[in-house]
Amino acid sequence: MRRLKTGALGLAALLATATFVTAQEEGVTDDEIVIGNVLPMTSSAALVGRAAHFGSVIAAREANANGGVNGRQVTIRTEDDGYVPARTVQGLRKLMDEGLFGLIGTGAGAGTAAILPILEEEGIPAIVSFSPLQAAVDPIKPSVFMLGASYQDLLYAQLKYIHDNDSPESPKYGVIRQDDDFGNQVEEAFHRAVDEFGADTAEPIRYKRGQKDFGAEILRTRSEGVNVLVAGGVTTEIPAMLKEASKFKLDLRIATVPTSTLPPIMQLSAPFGYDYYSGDYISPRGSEGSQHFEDMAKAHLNEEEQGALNRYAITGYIATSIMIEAIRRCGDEPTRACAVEQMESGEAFDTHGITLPLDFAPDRHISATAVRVLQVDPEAGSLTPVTEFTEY
Amino acid sequence: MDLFLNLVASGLVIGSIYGIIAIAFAIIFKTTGVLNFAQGEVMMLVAYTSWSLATSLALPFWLLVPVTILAAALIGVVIEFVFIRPMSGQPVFSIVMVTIGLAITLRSLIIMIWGPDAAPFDASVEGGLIEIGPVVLFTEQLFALLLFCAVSAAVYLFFRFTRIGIAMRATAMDETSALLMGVDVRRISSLAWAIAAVVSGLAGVAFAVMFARAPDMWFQGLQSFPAAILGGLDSPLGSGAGGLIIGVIAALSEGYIGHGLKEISGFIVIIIVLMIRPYGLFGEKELERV
Amino acid sequence: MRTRHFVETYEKHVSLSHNPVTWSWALVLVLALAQLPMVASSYVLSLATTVGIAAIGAIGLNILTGSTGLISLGQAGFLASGCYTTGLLIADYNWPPELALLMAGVVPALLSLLVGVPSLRLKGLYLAITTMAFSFIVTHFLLYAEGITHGPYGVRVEDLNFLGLDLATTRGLYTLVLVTAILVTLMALNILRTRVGRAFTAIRDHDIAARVMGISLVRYKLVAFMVSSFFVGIAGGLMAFQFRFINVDIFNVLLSIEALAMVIVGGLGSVAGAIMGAVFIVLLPEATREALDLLPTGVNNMLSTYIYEIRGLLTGLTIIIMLRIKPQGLVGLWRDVQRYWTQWPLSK
Repeated sequence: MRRLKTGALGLAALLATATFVTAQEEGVTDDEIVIGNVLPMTSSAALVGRAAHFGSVIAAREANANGGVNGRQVTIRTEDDGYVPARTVQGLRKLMDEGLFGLIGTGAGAGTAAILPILEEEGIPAIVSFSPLQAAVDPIKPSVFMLGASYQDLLYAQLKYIHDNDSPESPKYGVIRQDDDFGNQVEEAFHRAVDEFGADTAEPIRYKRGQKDFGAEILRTRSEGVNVLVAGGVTTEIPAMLKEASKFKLDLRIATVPTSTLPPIMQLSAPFGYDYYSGDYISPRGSEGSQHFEDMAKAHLNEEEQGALNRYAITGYIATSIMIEAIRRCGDEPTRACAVEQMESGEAFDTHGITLPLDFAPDRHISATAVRVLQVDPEAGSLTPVTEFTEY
Repeated sequence: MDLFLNLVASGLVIGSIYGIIAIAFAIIFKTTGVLNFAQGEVMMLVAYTSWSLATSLALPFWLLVPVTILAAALIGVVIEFVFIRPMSGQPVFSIVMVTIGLAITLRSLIIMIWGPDAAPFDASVEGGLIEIGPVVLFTEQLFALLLFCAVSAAVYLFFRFTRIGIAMRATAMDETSALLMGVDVRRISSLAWAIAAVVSGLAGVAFAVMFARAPDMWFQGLQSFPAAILGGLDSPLGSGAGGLIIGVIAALSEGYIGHGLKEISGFIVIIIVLMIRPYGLFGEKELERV
Repeated sequence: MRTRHFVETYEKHVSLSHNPVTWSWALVLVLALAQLPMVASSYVLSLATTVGIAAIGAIGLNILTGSTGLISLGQAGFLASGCYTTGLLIADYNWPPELALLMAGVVPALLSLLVGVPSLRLKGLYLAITTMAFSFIVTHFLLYAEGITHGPYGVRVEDLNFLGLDLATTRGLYTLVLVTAILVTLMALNILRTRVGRAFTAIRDHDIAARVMGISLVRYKLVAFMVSSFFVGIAGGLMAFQFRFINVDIFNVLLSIEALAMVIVGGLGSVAGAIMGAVFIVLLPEATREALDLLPTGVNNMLSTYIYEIRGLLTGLTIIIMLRIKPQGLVGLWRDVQRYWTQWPLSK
């Protein structure tokens, strides 16, 4: 009797899990279009992730204030990946489950690499905009686009400028780089430059991500007699290196990645009396080119949110605006395939002065690769372009 | 030679921070048998609080130190009362897990209150360089070294000569006997946490002054584990010495060998040492009754 | 109303369960889990997969820490070695995924002998930190030995045909993880009820007495490490299939601590506890997210800037509260519920 009861129970459980399949939204409903971000909102890269998130929010709100996209409102959904590639994958899956049309924030470096297969498989339009990754556009994936010059180009441009215009008497080049894929790109830029110049070099020095104390690294740099240094830190490592260098009053020409222009980093670097170089593919904040962005930021964000903005907000803003415009060009029934087609059509997208008008082509899914070298004076808080936008 | 001395100095500076935090570990472990996984986070909390006090009240440095000590003691006592006291009587391992939960909680709490950005710690010692022969140090780096010496001396004197210090040693050796001798064991536990918070908090302030007040300072606590183990968890001075050793070895290995050995050289060393002396260089062998 | 469980033969005492009802319910559970792919969305399935992998790892850790009493903070190292073994064998050496997964268990097991040797001399927290040191060294090696491990570039796993299952689909992977989890659970339960399992418990409770009774500490401690690492390595191998792109970033000490939290919150020494702990820890962030979504929008917006920190906060607090009110863990809670149920209406 008991066996019969348990058997019936099992059967009931089986039947209870009746099967039906739920259809998946593609991120478009009658009144909204969903654009997603997977960004590091926590962890050491939070500075970057939060800014990129708010940048896309500004673009969306701007579009919505102007009547939306052919009658639909743009919604931004952001997932946190905490700078961990595995969570970038999870975040993307969650967004896909909830309905996603296109993706702007693609996680940092290794995170982007992790989700590329999924983007390809599902044909999700994506614009990689805040952490350049060569593999995203080489070979070309049908729906993946990229904005911005690689770290390689950014650093090479600076080293070339230093070599041509600000070279010390007997230059010796050195690099301090992180021990991950970002650090690899930094070192590649270093090798590209020194091979071209035939310059005297010291061996690249590696440090572990998250390291604070650069005493030993700078001491080695000093003992090698390096006077042109690629300070390959992500954020707070840069001021830490400058601090140790200032101890010995080392005379250095310093090349850095764009994060060195973030206000908190400049603030931390100010006391040490060093000017350094940086590079970027967008107009810096406070310049004429970014005026429109600043106006939109004030109009659509509150005080606290505005405080989180930096250059990464600008790149998020441009990428989102481009995607929104591509969707708009598709008319009343936007599909992913159409949006992709519009993007690679070759018709230019206007970025309101932040960069020159950007365009893509079926065989070129990357844009905004022209770099401008900047001279940074952290104490005065100023960013001065010293070259024009140039391709490297 | 110049490189060597500077590397050693650099190692001693960061080693001082590790060493002070390791002393904090050892104090709590020695007195209560608990390894406080949240020591790095407590240090961070004290450093942040100190920063807030310094910036909002514009305190000069000589006033900031005693205020920090008070704040740290308070924080230590409160944390012990809220999180650890309710667990008394439970197996030590559970309490250790509570400290792990505490660590997770404090990390999030600090970001929620103070935000995720790094900021410089402004109330610093008069800036400037100090040159001792070929070795060049910032004033705040020398301060870290001096702090280490002061803390080590204070801890040694406290445990050796004061009544309370002796009472703490008694509790560590045998809690029941201590109770029978009239020692209030609960107060001892509170005191241990308060001292540990003060000690590691000062290290945290020194660290923040040297680098920045940032929400990933807790990682230094993690790096101090090898130091405490190397010296021996139940020997505060040994742990301190362990910190210095780890700091110097890390700096020398990075300076001469490279390959990012800085971080793991400490770990390699402790494995080797523990094989020879399983209770650390200065620790006491645990006697088990069968 | 039952008064107690009385067993009459030795066979029944040792069996996993002598009660056919338990087996039927277990079968119902398995069937329900097997049906999950048909009702659940892709995200829920991938979450369930994560829970399954975490459970396998937790069962492994439980054998080491819960049953044998050897505290280990080095799980991340074993997970990493299992994960990389599978990934590299498939990507670089073209091994079939089935064998690669098996090796994902074997390699960490051999590696654990290296860790196990110090364990013979070290006790308690000293051992814990040593395992943590090994974990750091393993991840450091994986990052720097670029020739073998691709260093920071990571490894992409392409070929995912496992005995006919396509692991690229969430459904295929879920099925594999479910089957593996069931197998591992049965293996663990079996090990723990044999001589070896009893030796483990003896070592945990009082190792000198165990030695006196003739249990070789050297042998059984090393076996504990190997068995535990085998399971943890398998979990790592499954992670390689799940993420399809591996790099060292995820394998940090926080992961080891999370693994330990699973075992402790679930209940030390119990396989069921390990599984429950894994479910709890993995689902806690999701649950808090849902709970926060229920709050009125005004409050939600205010909290939204720090939503990630709130989730962390709640995780930490939950662990602390769990340990305070129920130190035996979730399995203790379950047993309390069982006892209340069977003793009703006379339960306290």
